[in-house]
Amino acid sequence: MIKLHIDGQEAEAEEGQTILDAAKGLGIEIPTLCHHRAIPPVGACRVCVVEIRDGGRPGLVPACAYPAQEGLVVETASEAVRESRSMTIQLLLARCPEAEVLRKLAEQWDAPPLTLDAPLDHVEPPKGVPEGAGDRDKCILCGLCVRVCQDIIGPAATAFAGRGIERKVTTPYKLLSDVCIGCGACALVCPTGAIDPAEFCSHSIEKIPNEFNLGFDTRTPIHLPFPQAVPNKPILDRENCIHFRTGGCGACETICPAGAIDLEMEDEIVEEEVGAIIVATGYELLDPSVYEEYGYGRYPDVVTSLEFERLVSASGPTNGELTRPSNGEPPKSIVFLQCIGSREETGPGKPYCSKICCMYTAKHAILYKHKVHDGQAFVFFMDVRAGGKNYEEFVRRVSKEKVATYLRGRVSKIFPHDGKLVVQGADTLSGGQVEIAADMVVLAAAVVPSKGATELAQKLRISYDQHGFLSEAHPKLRPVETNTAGIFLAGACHSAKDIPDSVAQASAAASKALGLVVHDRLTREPTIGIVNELTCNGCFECENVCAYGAISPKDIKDRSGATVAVLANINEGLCQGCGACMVTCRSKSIEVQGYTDNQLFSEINAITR
Amino acid sequence: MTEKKTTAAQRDGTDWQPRIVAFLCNWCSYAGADLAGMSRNDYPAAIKIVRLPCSGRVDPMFVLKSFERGADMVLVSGCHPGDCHYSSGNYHARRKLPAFRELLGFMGIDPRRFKISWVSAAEGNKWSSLVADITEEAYALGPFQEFPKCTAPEKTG
Repeated sequence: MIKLHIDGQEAEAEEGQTILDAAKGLGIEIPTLCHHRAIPPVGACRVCVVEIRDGGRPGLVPACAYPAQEGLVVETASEAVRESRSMTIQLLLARCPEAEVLRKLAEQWDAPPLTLDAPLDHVEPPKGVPEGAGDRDKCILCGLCVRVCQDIIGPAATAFAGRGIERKVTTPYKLLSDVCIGCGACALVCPTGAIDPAEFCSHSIEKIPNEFNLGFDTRTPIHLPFPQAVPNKPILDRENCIHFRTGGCGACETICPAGAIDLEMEDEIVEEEVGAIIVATGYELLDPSVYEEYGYGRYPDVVTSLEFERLVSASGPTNGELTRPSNGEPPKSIVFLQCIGSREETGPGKPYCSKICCMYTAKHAILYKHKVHDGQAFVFFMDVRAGGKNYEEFVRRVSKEKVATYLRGRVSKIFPHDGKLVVQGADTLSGGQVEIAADMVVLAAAVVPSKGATELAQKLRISYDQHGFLSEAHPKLRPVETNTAGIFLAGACHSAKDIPDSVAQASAAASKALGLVVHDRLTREPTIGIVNELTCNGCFECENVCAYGAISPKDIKDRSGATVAVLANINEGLCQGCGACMVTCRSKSIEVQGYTDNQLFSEINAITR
Repeated sequence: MTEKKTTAAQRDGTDWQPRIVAFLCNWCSYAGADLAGMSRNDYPAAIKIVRLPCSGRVDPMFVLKSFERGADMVLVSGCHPGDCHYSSGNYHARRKLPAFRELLGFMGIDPRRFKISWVSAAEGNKWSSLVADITEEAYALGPFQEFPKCTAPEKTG
């Protein structure tokens, strides 16, 4: 362990670490632009200069490149450091006045911007930079992008070209590069946001829509599935990963300080034996683009309630700033349409009430007012169904406090006009037609089961209804169990359900599952098959029809131990008592207890008397 | 009580009501019928239900026995194909019972008197309309008399 002094404090560093690393360990912030922990430092930007007072060569050195040495005495904000750093920032800012990061640094380190009419004739405005080159004006020539492409990613698609004020980062012959794999690492490491990989790459670079934000922003192939995910760890999306698409890159493996990434890893099938299964596959929204009159999918400002939820979320694509997807302006008027596809007996919709929309629309109206104080909100509804503790009071508050104007009726058409969306609908309470010029329209689309829920139900042998919602064993008395022993339901996979109901059902399902598995012995139905060994002749037709593999041959031995017959034997643990074997058995040698032929014939006799 | 009255009326040959025997699997159709009841759906009382673990448990002998005992129509209903609680029981029924129906004519039973249907646990409405439809059909077909005539002396029991 190396010991050194930084700003009068004792710091510790390991062999190979720099002054910058040691300062970070003490919590001392040294500004830097051209440093990235994955890339060997070159000290290009000179923003991180610190003063060495003792223990080494005295003077100003770049902290990112100067190794931590025993007995070093370092000042990170001395007079000399400040003067040098301020000047460096001033010069960089003069070159790239648009760079946000430089402006911030200039403010922080007291570096007033140099302008052309400033009396500093040794600073010339950069020439040769073509007019309107966009963000390339932000390039400070630190070379981080060139180094990451060469040292980490590998293809070395870019390099510096030109001299003096004409120096710039570009591709060979300034042509779009075929070797560029479009990984975007250059843009990622660029401190000033000067690079768009599209200006290097000869093939198109697709942006990956962020599924969690419903495509309102983009994500990288390695991403957190959603904020507060459990476990809160990034996942790698193979389909979009440059490494899996081109075989190149693999930068993540090099960069990850914990060595947590293994690109050789393969998916594996994990088999677990469990005593109970809880199905909680949730719901999604009906795609409202089936209703052409609302223009969802055609007009960007017509969004679903779930999309609205992302747009107002603090962790959403706009960091909680509510803006119109079309132009980024705050919506001054908004119309919420309820029952889109719910309570619809004919047509593409669903006959049931989606149950949660009345409440979340009222909540959305409040959220909207929080974000846009002078905005106007309208709600078109069929009925307000606010059954639940404090629900009615909540909706009443929204309409009474004029958070939103509630209009009872349906909307017939939405069309764009003059930058707005004209919502045409009926107000059945006043008996007239209304037309609202809205900036945004939110559709409370019907709740439908998640895709794949029915396939899962077929795998689990549990039943589901015509909408794909999973069925409970009994609508009143066994609301969390399914007809298959040991499988329980929780949440909206069972029916449209709000949060308190889902939590209640999930708790009940968990208790039921625990009640099943905590016992040493399993209680099961006694209605299983029994073989009559006196009449069984061992044809094993029954073995063919048994779906559980519960029937196997059994040797019948005489006193001397010699096998005299091979007959069918039923494993009591595996048999489920379906009775298929019983019908197949020609000698009627298998009986399912509780459903024997005698019992059933008696029953038939009784009901046909 | 009502049942005895019906039986008496049937024996007199007046005010005749069909008797329909239904074999339902426990997991789908029986639960569907239960749901129809719980949803307070109306359907004709002519149907009498025998609960079985699975439609695959239906032995053709049950059907013959029902006709022999004077049923005017027999219905077998199970889970929709693919949804069997026992994986494949309704597949056995689906192969076996239509083949059996082909033989009914040979035995002197109008094959239209034997119905096979799939009703899931969520289809209470389908169950009630199914029962209404087949009861209607049973009325149209009239009483099934071929077998009871042959076995008339036994019918006192």
